[in-house]
Amino acid sequence: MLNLNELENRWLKYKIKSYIPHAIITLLVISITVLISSLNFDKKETNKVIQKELIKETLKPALKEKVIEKVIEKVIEKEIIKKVIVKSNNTQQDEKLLITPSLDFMRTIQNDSQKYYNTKSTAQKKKKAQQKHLISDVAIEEITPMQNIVKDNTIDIKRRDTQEDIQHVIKRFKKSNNPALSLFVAKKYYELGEYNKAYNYALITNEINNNIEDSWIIFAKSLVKLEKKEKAIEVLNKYIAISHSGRAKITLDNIKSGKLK
Amino acid sequence: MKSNLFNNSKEVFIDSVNHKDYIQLDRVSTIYQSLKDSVHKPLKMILLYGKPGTGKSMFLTKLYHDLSSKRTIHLYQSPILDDSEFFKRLAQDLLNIKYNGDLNFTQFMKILEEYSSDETPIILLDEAQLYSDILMEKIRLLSDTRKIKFVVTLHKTNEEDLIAKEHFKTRIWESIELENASSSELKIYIQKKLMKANCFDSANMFPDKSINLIYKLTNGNYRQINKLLYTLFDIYSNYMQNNPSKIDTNKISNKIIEMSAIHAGLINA
Repeated sequence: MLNLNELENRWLKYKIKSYIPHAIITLLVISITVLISSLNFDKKETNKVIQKELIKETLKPALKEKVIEKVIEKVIEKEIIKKVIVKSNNTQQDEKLLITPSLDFMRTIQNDSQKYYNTKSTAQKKKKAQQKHLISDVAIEEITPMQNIVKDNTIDIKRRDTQEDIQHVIKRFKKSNNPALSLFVAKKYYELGEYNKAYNYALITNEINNNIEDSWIIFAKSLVKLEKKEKAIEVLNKYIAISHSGRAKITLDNIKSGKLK
Repeated sequence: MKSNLFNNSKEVFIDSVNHKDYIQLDRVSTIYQSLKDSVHKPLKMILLYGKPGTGKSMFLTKLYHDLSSKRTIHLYQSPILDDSEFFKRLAQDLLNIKYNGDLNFTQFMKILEEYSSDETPIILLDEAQLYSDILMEKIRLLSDTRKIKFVVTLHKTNEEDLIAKEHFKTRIWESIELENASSSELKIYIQKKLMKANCFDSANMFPDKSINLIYKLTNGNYRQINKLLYTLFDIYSNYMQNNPSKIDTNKISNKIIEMSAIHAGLINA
């Protein structure tokens, strides 16, 4: 005999039991989905934060780089400016240096020449003293125009090359004190139009050896170029009187006639 | 009226092996026909195997009733475990000789040698897995004489083990497997069974949903189906008597199917 009430109760229990796993599964699924969604949300949030941080991190070096670049640019600019300044200074200094040794030479040579003259005969001393007097007057007068020329910055490359050659010869001259070298320098400076230097080196050459014809002619020509025509004629006349040089006479005639200006 | 209907429907599903209850299903009919054909072939032994409740006994019963009028056929529904009793039964059925004392295998073989018939008699052995290996070996030797043909049914516990048995491996010429019903076969089985008993109203009470649930609970096993439906109609009958407002008489309720399964032990609740 069937007990329907009991059977119904058993069925109810069975249904509840059968629904439990479903309920658990649905709860699990819901909780998992909630968890995943929350994790995803967290991840998104953290990702956003990380992205922001990353952006910051990436931007920082970029900014740093930019700053560094700017600094470098500034430094480079400064360096360039400095270099330009230094260059200009150097050029000025170089140009000044071109002047100062000449003066030093003047002084040293003068001193040397004085010693040299002391060893020579008194007759020669008198001649030299006269010449020296003449030249020193001219030299003292010529210092100011030399300084003016220094300010003129119109030196081209060829000229620099020649200048280098001249400097090299000057170095050799300083070592050897050979009048041929100083005469060469004087001629070169005359060709380059640097008549002050040409005058100086011609004078130096004369002081070492006053019998060199070319040094006298260059000396006189330089004086003419430096608008010291009278001095040039005077010097040449004195030299012609001593040496009777034909070339000196021609040069004198050219100066007098105005061919050589 | 309805109470009677449910009572009648309940009776349909009483678990009994009666050839009259045999339900013609396409697949089952095909298998049965192949079994019937095998019987006519010169085979020493035929094996009919399947899980419990797949209809093996029904097949043998059906075969017995179909062929009994045409040829010598004997059905041993319950296994005869004693050798002497088995041979004495054979002697009686085949040779119409009744032995009061013991009859051993050697004595029976001597008698069988003298026996001659136009057609080979068929012995249908149900539940053959209960026979001892020695007796099965003696049955094999008897089939070798070609004076008796055996059709044996076995529970399919493990097919490999079954086929591996020496006496089957060498002697079986035909093996037929019976299987559980499919979901669609289940519906046809229930409806045909009810309609066969003129329970048309109850036969129309099974929607596909209920059939699927029954299939789920019984796995298409005929014995389980019978058991469940018997309980189902018993519950309906009870409700009709005691509390008819609680049930819908137009269609089978899944709740009552489950209650039936609980009562029948198919659901552990």
